[in-house]
Formats: sequence, structure tokens, C-alpha cells
Amino acid sequence: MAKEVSTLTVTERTATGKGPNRRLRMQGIVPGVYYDQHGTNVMVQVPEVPLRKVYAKVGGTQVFHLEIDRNGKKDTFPALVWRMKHDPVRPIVTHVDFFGVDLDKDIKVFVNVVTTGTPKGLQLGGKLDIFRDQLEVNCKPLSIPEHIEIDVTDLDVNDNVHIEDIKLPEGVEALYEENFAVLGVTPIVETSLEDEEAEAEAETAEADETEAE
Amino acid sequence: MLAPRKVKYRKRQKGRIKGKAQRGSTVSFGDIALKTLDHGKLTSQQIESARVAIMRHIKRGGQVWIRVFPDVPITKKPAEVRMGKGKGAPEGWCAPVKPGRILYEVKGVSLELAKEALKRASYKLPVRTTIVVKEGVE
Repeated sequence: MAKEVSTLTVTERTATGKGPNRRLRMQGIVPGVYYDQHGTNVMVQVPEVPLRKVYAKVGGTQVFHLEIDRNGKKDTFPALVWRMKHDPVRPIVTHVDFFGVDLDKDIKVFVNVVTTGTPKGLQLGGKLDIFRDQLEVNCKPLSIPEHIEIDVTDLDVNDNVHIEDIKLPEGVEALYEENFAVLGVTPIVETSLEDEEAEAEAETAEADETEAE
Repeated sequence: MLAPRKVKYRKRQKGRIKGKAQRGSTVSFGDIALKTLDHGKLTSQQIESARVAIMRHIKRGGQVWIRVFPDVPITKKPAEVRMGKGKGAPEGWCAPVKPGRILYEVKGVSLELAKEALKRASYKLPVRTTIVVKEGVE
């Protein structure tokens, strides 16, 4: 069954600069931009609520239909949410980038890593460490996986899963130069708070000595 | 306690803390974090006691990142001294923070435990804080 593709309608934006954009944000509208590999560049604006709903469905990896309304004339493009900028304090989106994709050309994207199961090393005194939250893959836009699932059930203490060990869906290729570890089960090093405090005190004393010199 | 190893100048002007944090405002290392909503100066003692509060609560297994470093010297004049006659002696170190700055990040423990630990840490700090969870972490 084919995947249902979401649609987001945006309007072309004519006013630019921080003043007009701030006025838009006060009305709950997010300023943004649409661009693609061919040099198209359209400034857009989109209400925050539909944007959040579509983003919750597609994330940064799934292609959706972006409908750009230019003075009543609507054009639809396959696109990805390329970048979302958030306010540092308030939970609002301040800007969004849409990237128009060519469905026949390969694209490089970062995909989240998700684990399944509980490693057996956890019961033997280890902890699961995810060294890379995201992996860069190269594939056609419609074959981008939602996430990369790694089964960690068989991992013992000091076992790692390397990038070469991961089975990716057909047509998806991971990009890497070295065969790095993506995740692993590492032994828990017991350090008491007292030890840490003593260490910190020693460091402070050392810093004081250096300062005195 | 955190302190710089070596500094170029022993004393510094106070300055003003304006605007919002642009750098260090996203959860980068852990799954859950403590973010400041105010601007202020965190002393090295406050940073350390908040860290101890987190470590005492999560006990073992977790990992904690401190995202601020106290590299600004604070000076203080001795008690019962008249004003003037130069700036006081260096007394400690502080980290000026702007609203939105991530202070601590935690990973490797359950979110409930981490939330409680960060809440306890927030009582040690002179700024209003909020707890934020990394996107995609449940």
C-alpha cells in the first residue's frame, strides 16, 4: 500500500525583514522559505498550527506536498522540512526552510537512530550508549526511512554495533569514511560522590597554585 | 568547583547581560535538560551544588553534562571598608547566562528520575528554569 502523503498549504510572502516577520509571528504565522536544487527561491509564510501537525507526521525525512499559493494560483512541489528554527525561550517556531526535492535524484539526509529491545548486557552491569543519534544516508527522496531501527537485544557488555553492521532498506546507502560505532553497551564505572568531590577539590587546589605562581 | 586554570586579566568589568541565548540553547548531548528563563550570573558554588543535587538523585547509570562554565571573575571588597581605593580582590567565578541557555543535560536514566533530579537542581540556582526534553525522546 502506498504511503499517504501529507499536504501543507503556504502563501507567498512579499514583505521581508525583521519588522514584517515579527508582525507575522505575533499573529501565529511562521515566515519561511522554499528553495530547491534548480535555484528556485520563494519566500513563504505558513500558520504555525498546520505546520506543527504536518511536521509531527513527516518529521525532517518524509516527503510531503507543499502547495504554494501565489496570488490565488497554486503550485504543488514535493518537499522536505529542511530546517526549523525555534525561539530559545518560548516554544514557538520562528522560521522554517522547505527544500524542494527532485524525486529522481539521490539526496543526502540525516535519519534518526531508534533502538528496539533491551540489551542482555544491561543485566550484567552495563548501560546502553548511543554514540550517534543520527546517520547520514544517501537515497531517493521517497525511499528515505522514517528512522533507522537497530535491534540491541543480543548486545553484551563491551559489544558495539558499527555502521557496517546495520542493515538498511533497499536503495538506502549510509555515508561514512570510517566504520564507526553507532551504539554499544558499556560497563558502568562506579564513582562515588565523595571521590568526585575529592577530585574536584584537588583540581581547585591545583588551579589556585597556578594562579599564585 | 569549576574555575579557569589561567586567565589573562585577574579582574573584569561587570557588564550587562542583554538579549536571549543564541548559542547553547538546544539540547545537544542528553535527552533532557534544564534551561534558564532569566538572565543572571551563576557562581561556581551554585553550579557545583546543583550538579551534586542531580548526581545524588540519579545515583548511578546516568550521565550529566554541565553546559555552562564560570570563567568570569567576581571581586569583593572586604567588610567595613570605605568605598573607593580601587576594585576589590577576586573572590570567585561566575557564568553569565541569558534566557534560553541550557545549563545541565542528563542521559541514561528514566525521564521521571531525570526530571526530579533537574527540579532539585533548579532550587540551587538563582534563576527561573524550565525542563526541556529533546525532540523525539519519549
